[in-house]
Amino acid sequence: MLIDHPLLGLRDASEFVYLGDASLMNRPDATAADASQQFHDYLHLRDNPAGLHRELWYHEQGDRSWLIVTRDTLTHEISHVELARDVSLAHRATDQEGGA
Amino acid sequence: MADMTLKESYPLDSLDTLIGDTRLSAVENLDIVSIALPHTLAPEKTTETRASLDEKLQSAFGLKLTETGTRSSNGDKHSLLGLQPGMWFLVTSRRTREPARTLKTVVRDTAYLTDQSDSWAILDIAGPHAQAALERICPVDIDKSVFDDTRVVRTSMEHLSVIIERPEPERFRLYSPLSSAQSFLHAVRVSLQNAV
Amino acid sequence: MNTATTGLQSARIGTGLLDSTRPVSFQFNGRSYTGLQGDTLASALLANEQRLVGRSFKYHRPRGIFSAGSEEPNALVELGSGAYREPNTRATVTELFEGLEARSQNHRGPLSFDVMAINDHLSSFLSAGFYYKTFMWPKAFWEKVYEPVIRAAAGLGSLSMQEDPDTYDKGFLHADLLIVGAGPSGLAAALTAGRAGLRVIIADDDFLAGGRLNAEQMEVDGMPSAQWAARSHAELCSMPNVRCLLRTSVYGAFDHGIYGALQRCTDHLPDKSSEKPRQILWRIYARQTLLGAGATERSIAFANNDRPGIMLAGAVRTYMNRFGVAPGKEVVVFTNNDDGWRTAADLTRAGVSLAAIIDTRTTSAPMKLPGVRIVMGGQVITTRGRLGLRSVTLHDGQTLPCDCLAVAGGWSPNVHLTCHQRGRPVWRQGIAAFVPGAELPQGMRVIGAANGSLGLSSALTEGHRTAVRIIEASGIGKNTSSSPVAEQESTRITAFWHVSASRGRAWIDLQNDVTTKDIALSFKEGFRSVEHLKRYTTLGMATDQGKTSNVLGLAVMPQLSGKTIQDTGTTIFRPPYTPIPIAALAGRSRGKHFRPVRHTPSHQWAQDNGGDFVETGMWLRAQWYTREGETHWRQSVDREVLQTRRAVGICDVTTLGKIDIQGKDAAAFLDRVYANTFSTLAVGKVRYGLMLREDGFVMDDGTTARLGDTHFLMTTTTANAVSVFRHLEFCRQCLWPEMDVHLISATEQWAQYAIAGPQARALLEGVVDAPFDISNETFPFMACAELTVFNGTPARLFRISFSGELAYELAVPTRYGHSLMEALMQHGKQFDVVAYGTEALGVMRIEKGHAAGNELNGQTTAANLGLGRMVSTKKDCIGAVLSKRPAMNTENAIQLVGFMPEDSAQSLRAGAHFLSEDAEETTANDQGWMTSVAWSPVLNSSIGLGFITNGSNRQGERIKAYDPVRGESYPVRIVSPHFVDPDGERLRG
Repeated sequence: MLIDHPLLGLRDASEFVYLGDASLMNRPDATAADASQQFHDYLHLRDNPAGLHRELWYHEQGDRSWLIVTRDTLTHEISHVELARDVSLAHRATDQEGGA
Repeated sequence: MADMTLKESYPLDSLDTLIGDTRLSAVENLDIVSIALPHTLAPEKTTETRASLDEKLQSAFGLKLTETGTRSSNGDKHSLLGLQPGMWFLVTSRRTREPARTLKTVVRDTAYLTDQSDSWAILDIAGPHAQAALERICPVDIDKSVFDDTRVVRTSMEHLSVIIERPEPERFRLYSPLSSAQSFLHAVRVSLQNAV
Repeated sequence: MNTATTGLQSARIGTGLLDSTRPVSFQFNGRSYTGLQGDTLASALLANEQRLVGRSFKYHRPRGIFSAGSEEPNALVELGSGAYREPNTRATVTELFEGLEARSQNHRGPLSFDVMAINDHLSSFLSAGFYYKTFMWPKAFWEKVYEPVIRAAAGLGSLSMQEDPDTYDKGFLHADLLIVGAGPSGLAAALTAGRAGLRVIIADDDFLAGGRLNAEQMEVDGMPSAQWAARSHAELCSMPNVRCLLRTSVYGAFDHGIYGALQRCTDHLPDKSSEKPRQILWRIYARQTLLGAGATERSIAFANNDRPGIMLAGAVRTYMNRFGVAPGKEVVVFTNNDDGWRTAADLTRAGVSLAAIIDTRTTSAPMKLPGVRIVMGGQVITTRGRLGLRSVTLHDGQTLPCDCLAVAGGWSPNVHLTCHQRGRPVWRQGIAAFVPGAELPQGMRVIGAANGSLGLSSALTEGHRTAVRIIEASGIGKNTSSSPVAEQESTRITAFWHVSASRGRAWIDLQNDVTTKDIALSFKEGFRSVEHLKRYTTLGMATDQGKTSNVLGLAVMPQLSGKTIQDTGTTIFRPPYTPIPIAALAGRSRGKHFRPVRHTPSHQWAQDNGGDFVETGMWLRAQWYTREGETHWRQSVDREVLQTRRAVGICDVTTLGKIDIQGKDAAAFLDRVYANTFSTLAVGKVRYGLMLREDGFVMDDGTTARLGDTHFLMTTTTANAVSVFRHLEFCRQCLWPEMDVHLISATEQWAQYAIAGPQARALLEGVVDAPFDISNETFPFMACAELTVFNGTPARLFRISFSGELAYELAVPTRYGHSLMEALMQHGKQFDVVAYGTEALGVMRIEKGHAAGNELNGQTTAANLGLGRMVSTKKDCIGAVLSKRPAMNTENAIQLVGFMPEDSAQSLRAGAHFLSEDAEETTANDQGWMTSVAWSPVLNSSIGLGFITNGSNRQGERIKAYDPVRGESYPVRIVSPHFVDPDGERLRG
């Protein structure tokens, strides 16, 4: 497989390490009343879609970026690749706006 | 107090050999310092710090900060390799025992520095068969039509992490972790023997 | 023809594309023959009228040469001798070279009299599913009786059982356009794309570019087709942007335009002593791919259609036109299409006697062949000639004497690579064949015969036109070429598969000996799906992957079911297209080069001083240093432990992972990734850190030093260095991107040595430069400093202890590591210094009760390790929430404690389980297990660490250690895990 790295272009998947569902980015709030349940769900409950899947890949033999790769699990077609840090920062900005 | 001083030694042991028409040589006289750009939540502030760092590096070395995957250099004296978002290697000929400490006086609080001079085994492979040899181990496209002296890539070759650049059309420079220098040398040497 | 240069070669009728000035001698079954440069083994054997070349897989039927290419199912031979022996090599693609040795396979006794041919007479018992049905019972017989017998009888060639003396390589290629196949369509496309400036790779199995252009008497651009092929190939080779890979099989199409290709570099060279790799496995990254793999001819099923001398009609043309060989003296052509007539025409033109052409169609003859007997609407019912064809019998009972039957059953496009991403071919009635379906691997287009566009003109124009489209889409260059011109030959066909009037076995799959009867039987037994049919009969499952047989089998099946071929469908293909040696897949990763090795800077010192190395990950570490007179490793280890605890020892700990962490938020970041707090750590101090996974179990541990306000140095265990770094990057980028934290590995940067023992400070006082002061007052336990040693070398000193002794770790830039080890040992002589290895390190950490890899096995919690109080309740960190789960905090949770045998002669063993002394040895009564054991030379006893239920409240209790694996059971006593200096007075002293 080839992953179209947002900064470096197409790179062989062998340079990357796979982690799993991109929902691992959304670590729950440890101070929430039901934190234990939230962490349980965060850690153990995953969708297993036949189709588009957003997943985390780490460019270990490259620029050490964590990427969010949108891959079709039926065809391996990769339709979108983002820098996880950018997504995380954007997410935070939205949260803050929402909270303000 | 012991009246001794420590001697330097390098695993590639000043290797310099010709395989066919292509030269393979160890490079052991470089200072390498990693430069990390501080980041903040405010993008303007990061941009400001970056501009300031850029200015300091330009005035000290004549090198511009590059994007990830690209390099800038002034001849063989200094080069700046963009390896990660917000992280560069400054590669200079050896001048000091503690290059990070020296560089700190230049960049001050615009960067975090870590000495990497002892972390890498460095090989130059130069000659007509250099590219053909590296095709055996390098998964990244290094054809001269797409890979020139403005590019730098970190990838894996024979299970080893390797940084590759092409300072001249027929010369590549490879950096691989020092501890596996012998395996690295074997990989490159065999590639060259097989390709010439 | 001059017989002096060609040897006997009695079937040679011309020189074709061979070099008639270069005779090549070779051996087959020990007999010497001569061929010509440019021959394949198959063409050279045919030139010498050696037509019997092997025995079939199951029935041991005599077999000859069936095809002229990689589809060959019959002519499999063993090449080479000694360690170079290689079985199951197709004679049709084996390039002849001086001294080549080949042997036929799969017979006991001489090739012409194989005792196993008895199987042929037992054929009614060896039908489809024979093994499944026969060897089911009794069950116990399978391993001991049936399987060994079957294994001895089955299989074709045999292995040398010696190490492969050749070397293999791998490589990576990149192209704008990969063209698979250098036939007419591929060459036309490559010329067009190459001239426009695209980076092109064109690969072909053959050692000569041209494909069918070399096998036919046709013209392209006004010149003989073979000449056009040679000229085009030469032009391509002259282009710097085009890479021509001959002798290269593109064997697989993988995700996203990645292809596998095997290049055979030295197989055709007489000199086997070359240092160069025999084969190279290329991984090709192609933006666009053109599949111009051509088509494969197939046979027709009739009784005894497998005899030597029965050959595909196109192969007959290849042998005549390219190799100048007449495959027989008296030939019959059997066809269902116009292409078969071209074989007849070429035979006539070459002056080979053509007994008849039998066409299954009832139309009028498509061409005039003066003097040739033409039978329209005819069928071949059966054949005769056990070791070689002698005659064929027609539907009307006539028998025609002949020694070669050219069968033309139609051409099947080579769609294999289109299926590798699950594309499914579709049936095209007009050519009676499957063509590529709509779903192709990313970036692939199919051209020429592979696309079902049979005929030379179609191939050339389609190749050219498709290349033009690719050029336009690429934006790289401009097309400057026009399509090569040729006449379009007629390829009309009326599907005809099986001579139903035939009695006796009619072969479909020659290599796996599958006949129409097997297909009928499997259908009768209920195997309706083509996938089931394939697996039950093994149709198409041999090394040729059914290249000549699949379509025929899939066509015979619907005749039984009454369904159409479209409705029956086809099986699809997986990589590899042709067999790939395992050695090529392994490449260079063999023997000691299986994977990289990591050395510490003082590796050489260790080697020179009796070091005995152990692999830990990729690292080689000295596990002990053998001194003269020591005959058992325990002597070395005991000496190292005792001397360290009595005087001072030095251990290379360079392999520990070191991560340089900087940033304004570095301290806060550490608070979040460690269970305990680091923001309170003062500059110049070190703290032990415990890292949890998010599920609350322990991930790793180590010490982290604060070198500055915004600067920390973390150490990890050797084994987890990479995974901890990855985890920290995840936390930094994905969880807390707002933090100003920067990570870089410093593992390689520093050579680090533990200096432990009561004399450690005394030793170091002579090493550390003035004015640095390492007295206990200014440099107490858990202090760290950046300083210089041995008159100016920059260094870092950490006062930490894994052994429980007064200890330090001293780090210098790696280039000084070797010299530092030498200097420390020399300077340390006055303090009776000893070098110790990882084994002594392990003994001392067990004596001290420190957890290591065996205890941090991913299933243990901080509480289990007795470190529960380290998990701060004042802050969130990775693992904090879930480590509080009730089930992980029960009162009877396992806890790390020490164990000693009741009988001091008893050796403890890791892996033993703990039970109450009188409990039955069942899982239900299991209370824990032993994790680490060592012989303690200090206590003169075997000691152990382990986990046991509620362990810390049970010290002094006698229990049973039970080791079902080794069949041992013995009493042990629970003790404190701190066997040595439990109050830590030494390390603080």
